[in-house]
Amino acid sequence: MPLLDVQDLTKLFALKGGLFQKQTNYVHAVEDVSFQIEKGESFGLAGESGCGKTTCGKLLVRLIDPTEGHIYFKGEDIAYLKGSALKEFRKNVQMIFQDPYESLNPRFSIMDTIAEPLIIQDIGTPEEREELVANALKTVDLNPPEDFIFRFPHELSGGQRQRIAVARALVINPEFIVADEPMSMLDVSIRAGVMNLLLELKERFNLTLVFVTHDLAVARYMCNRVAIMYVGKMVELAETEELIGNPYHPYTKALLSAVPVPDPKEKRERIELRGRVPTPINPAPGCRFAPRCEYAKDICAQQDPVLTEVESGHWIACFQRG
Amino acid sequence: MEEQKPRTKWEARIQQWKKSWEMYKENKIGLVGIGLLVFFFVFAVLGFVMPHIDPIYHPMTGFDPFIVSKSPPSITHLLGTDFWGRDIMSQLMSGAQIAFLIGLTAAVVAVAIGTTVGLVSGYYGGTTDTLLMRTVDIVLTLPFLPLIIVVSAAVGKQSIWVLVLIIALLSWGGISRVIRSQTLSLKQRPFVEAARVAGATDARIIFRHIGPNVLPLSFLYMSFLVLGAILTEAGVSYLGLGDPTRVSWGIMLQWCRTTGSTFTWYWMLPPGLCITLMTLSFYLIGRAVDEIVNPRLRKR
Ligand SMILES: Nc1ncnc2c1ncn2[C@@H]1O[C@H](COP(=O)(O)OP(=O)(O)O)[C@@H](O)[C@H]1O
Ligand code: SF4
Ligand SMILES: [Mg+2]
Repeated sequence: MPLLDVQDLTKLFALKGGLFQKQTNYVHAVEDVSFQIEKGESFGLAGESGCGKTTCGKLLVRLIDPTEGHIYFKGEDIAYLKGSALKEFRKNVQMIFQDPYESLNPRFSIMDTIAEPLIIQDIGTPEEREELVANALKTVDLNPPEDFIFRFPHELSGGQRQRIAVARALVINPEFIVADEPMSMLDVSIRAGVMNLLLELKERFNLTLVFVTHDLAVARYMCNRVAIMYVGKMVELAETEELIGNPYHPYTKALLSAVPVPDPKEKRERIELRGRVPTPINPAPGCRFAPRCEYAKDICAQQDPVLTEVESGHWIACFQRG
Repeated sequence: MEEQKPRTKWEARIQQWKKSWEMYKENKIGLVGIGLLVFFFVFAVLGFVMPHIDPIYHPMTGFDPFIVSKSPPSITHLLGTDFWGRDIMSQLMSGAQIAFLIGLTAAVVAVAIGTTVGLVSGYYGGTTDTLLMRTVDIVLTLPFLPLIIVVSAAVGKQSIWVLVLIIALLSWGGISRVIRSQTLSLKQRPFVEAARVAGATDARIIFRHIGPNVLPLSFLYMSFLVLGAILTEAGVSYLGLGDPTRVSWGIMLQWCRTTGSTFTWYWMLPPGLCITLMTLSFYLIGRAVDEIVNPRLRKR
């Protein structure tokens, strides 16, 4: 049984219409997305900005409520949990946010910040919590913990802050963590440090990681498998090396040709993408990529291509099939 | 200077306070405000001591047996006496006590209501927000003087607590709007999402996570509310709607007026000056806090 089994997950955001607008518009941030994540895996969600990666990650940790679909966590559907059952589920999950300058409460000392999940989940006495916080700080290489425990976020660097955020995520021993582009706001020079830390902790605690990124080079470094999203849809899913070395979907191909992912095998021909990314507001039926796709056929504008397994472990949503 | 790393929660807290004070100290205007405030505080405390030195220094019952009418400054009465031969300096001290009492209690109550309403309104939005903000609209249009008269009549006496209550109930509206808009932006911040992922309840998010972030703003508004409350009490008392059983600066001015002594400088001037300086003190403190709370104004 996979740790997470996501079925037809959909999130629509209602846009409030103007005074005279009768019909409400919907942002199709995530639509009919299905995938499974195994325990201990590092699963990448990749794609351009606005394709729904963050929304998808927030749905998995139940930070926002799904519009439709199911999320089975160890076989139990957690998509619509409420109240104490939801709180119980929250012991298993954590999220690391994009911007460590925004994700730490400026009025909380580091102690307050990291102890907060423990307090909320009613774990330990104050003394035990202080111990757990100190350990969490050691785990993220903030040594000695006494130098940090009673400081405030504004006294720390971006990299240190992101380590605090990691420590906060780890302190309750979650089963899986969603990390939403945790490096993108950091200085290039310290990104590798945070990436390696995450990988090391994932091994050490047998964590399952959902790693959101727009950078395929980062995904390649961090993830066992990667899913490519385009305007709310999942268009391709495969083992990372397979996806980068042997992409099927026209969008993935274009994406890979545009970003400098070093490919040892061959020099890729650059594919120019025509047109712009369409808006996810009330999208037209059919394949989201059709207006820009050089292989588009009639059927592409009429039917939604479904994510299907074309080779073992390699899934694509396209009528063209490779 | 290498900074000490705090080893306990309290050391950390004290260090934060020290830092805020360092920042505040930069502001000369703010220091003048604090200076004035300290002066009035000492003045108010002295007010409790004076009647014990000599009963003639009691602000209300200290009739000097040798003086039967107003008298200009003298050795026994440094600022002179009022119409009934009571020491003006002692009355000023009593006035300072009343000003602190009214200003602080009314402001604390108003800030507590305003901050809570703003937090709840901004956090929940929707119907809750609409209802609370309509209430604010109504509160902001309530007329002050008629309300004082009606409530005083209902209670059966003119009391300082009626004043405090009405000042507080009429002045939380503005602050709740400010806190609400601050909350609207704070609740979108990822640190709130982080709390939610951990399972924090709405109440915890409102009061533990968002609350402390709006508190500096509440404190800023509090200094202006104290100022407003002191002025209001003075105005109301001057009109004869104050508490006649306590000697406040406004009451002093009213006595001055009703005995036809408006041009007796040594009686009229001191309470007026006290009102001005004490409100000025809170205004200056408010301005200085404003510069810390709103970093855009902060000097580099
Ligand atoms: N709370 C929201 N209300 C309305 N639209 C939203 C909201 N959050 C995200 N969106 C929209 O959903 C789409 C996907 O957003 P997001 O998941 O943040 O993308 P990504 O993380 O891949 O950049 C975007 O078009 C974004 O504007
Ligand atoms: S389904 Fe059609 S339009 Fe969409 S990517 Fe495949 S070929 Fe292109
Ligand atoms: Mg994002």
